[in-house]
Amino acid sequence: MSWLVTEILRLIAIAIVLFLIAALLAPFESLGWWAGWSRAWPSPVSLPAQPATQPHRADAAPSCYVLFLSGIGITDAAALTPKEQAFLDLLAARVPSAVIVHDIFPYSAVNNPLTGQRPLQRLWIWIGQAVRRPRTKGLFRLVALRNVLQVLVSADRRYGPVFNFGVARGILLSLVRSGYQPGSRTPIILIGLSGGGQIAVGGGATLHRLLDVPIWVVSIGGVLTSDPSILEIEHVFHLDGSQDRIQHLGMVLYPGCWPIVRRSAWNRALAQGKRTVIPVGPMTHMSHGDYFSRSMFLPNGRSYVEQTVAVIAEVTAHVLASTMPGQLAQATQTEQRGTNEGDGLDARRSV
Amino acid sequence: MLADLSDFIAQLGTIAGEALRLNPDVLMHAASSPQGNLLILTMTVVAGASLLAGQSVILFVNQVKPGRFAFSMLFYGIVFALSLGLWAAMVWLCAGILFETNQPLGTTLRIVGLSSAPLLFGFLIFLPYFGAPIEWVLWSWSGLIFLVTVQATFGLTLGQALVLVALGWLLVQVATRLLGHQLSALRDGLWRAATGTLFDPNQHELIAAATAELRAQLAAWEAHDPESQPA
Repeated sequence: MSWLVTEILRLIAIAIVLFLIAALLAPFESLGWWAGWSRAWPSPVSLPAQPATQPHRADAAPSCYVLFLSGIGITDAAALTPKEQAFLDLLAARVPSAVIVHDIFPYSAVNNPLTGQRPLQRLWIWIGQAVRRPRTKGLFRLVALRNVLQVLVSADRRYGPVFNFGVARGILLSLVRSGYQPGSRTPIILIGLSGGGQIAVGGGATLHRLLDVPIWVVSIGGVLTSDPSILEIEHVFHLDGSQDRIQHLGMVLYPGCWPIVRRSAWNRALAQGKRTVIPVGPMTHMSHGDYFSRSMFLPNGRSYVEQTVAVIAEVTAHVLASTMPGQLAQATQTEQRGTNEGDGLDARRSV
Repeated sequence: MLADLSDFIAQLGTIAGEALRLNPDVLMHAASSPQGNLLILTMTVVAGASLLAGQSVILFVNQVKPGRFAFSMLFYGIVFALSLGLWAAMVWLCAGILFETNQPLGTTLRIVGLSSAPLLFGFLIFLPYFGAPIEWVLWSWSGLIFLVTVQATFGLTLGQALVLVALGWLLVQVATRLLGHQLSALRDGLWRAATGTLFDPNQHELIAAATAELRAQLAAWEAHDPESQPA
């Protein structure tokens, strides 16, 4: 029996060492990019000479730009899950005046997906395919672990400023490619799913400083931390699934989020009323019954993803109403209100 | 020569391990033995380099290139050992004046060197999220080793050892304030020699400067693009 215990302890020790190695390597990409260690990455303070933009739509200027940052299970922004794609399609149909952007890989300061040019590219490509097979879907945990470490980097006081600067620069270029005009003050809404919530807050704060426009964050079960960046976000709308325990991890793991630490950035943000928690129903954090579930339904007949979309559409209308002239805002609200069946903002609570 | 080197490394591991275990008798013996000078000095330099590795964000933020990186860590290790030597001198002075101890300066230097053993794990401070509590644990552990060794070697009580630590720290702070300008110039010169960059510890100022530069480029886009004018 003692040999079994020894072997188990040995495996645990190996796992800890491997975790430490992965964690020690985590900040290197963003720090190395900032320090100019690789010619493959653009300089932090460089932009293309002229922006490559898509032509404006003929009908009307977009009412807002909505940028989606996926959860920690993503290997490439171009490889969204069917559920995520369905969510974005529904959102686009519900808010047709918005431009919806989803080409940012949030867990890299240089917007380099795991399947992009990097030393372990082939491994991540293989894992990205393997997770779709039942026998190897557990490999998802490796992707999640790698991306969670980047969330920790984003929230770290030492590394966060550099990491979030890189994310903001990537978001800026993505918005411009989608037709955003710097200086136009068109509202920008960042939607962060799970770990993408922290990235949205961190990157959003730097984006705010770059563009000098309010940045709104919609956190879908987002794991938020005590990152001081939250003080520069115009407002955080946090969609709260009652069966989602993982969303509370940040509140537990970051002492700055504890109520007793009153002067922390998080608690000052709450005191300023910068966060609104919107109960959306009995959604779990991921997998079956999550915020994008198409097979689970609420008593009002909506699927979970329809409810999530309805709440975000309501939030978008609220954002536009607060940033646009009265008449135009009212017209937009009429367009975007759906069946008006207890959309989440009615049940919101400001904290 | 390889055998001598591996033997030296093995002895280094042994002395570091004994220091980490806070064994007063072993610590007192090591502190009192001049034969351990080279081992303890090496341990201090390596601890300093490991500490800088853990805090190396300052190297990245100041855009130190890879070739200079390793050299900077070694250089910092030497500077770290020298700074510990200054602290040891202050402690030795205080011990002699306040408590009339009769220990040679070399003993105090070895005590301070032994107390740097936990900082061999200083590279772990680089960990995101975990780095800050680890740093606190390592410095606390280092302080404990110093207290235990001073008590055992100088024959002091815990209270006297604490007074000695506090006074030594205070004297270093006073010296730093009095010679602030000269020390800053020395630090900047040493930094430039080691890293090839100017010393700027303020990451937020560097980020702000980069933000301003990007904003200027955005303004240039707006100036060149007629469609960018607000409606």
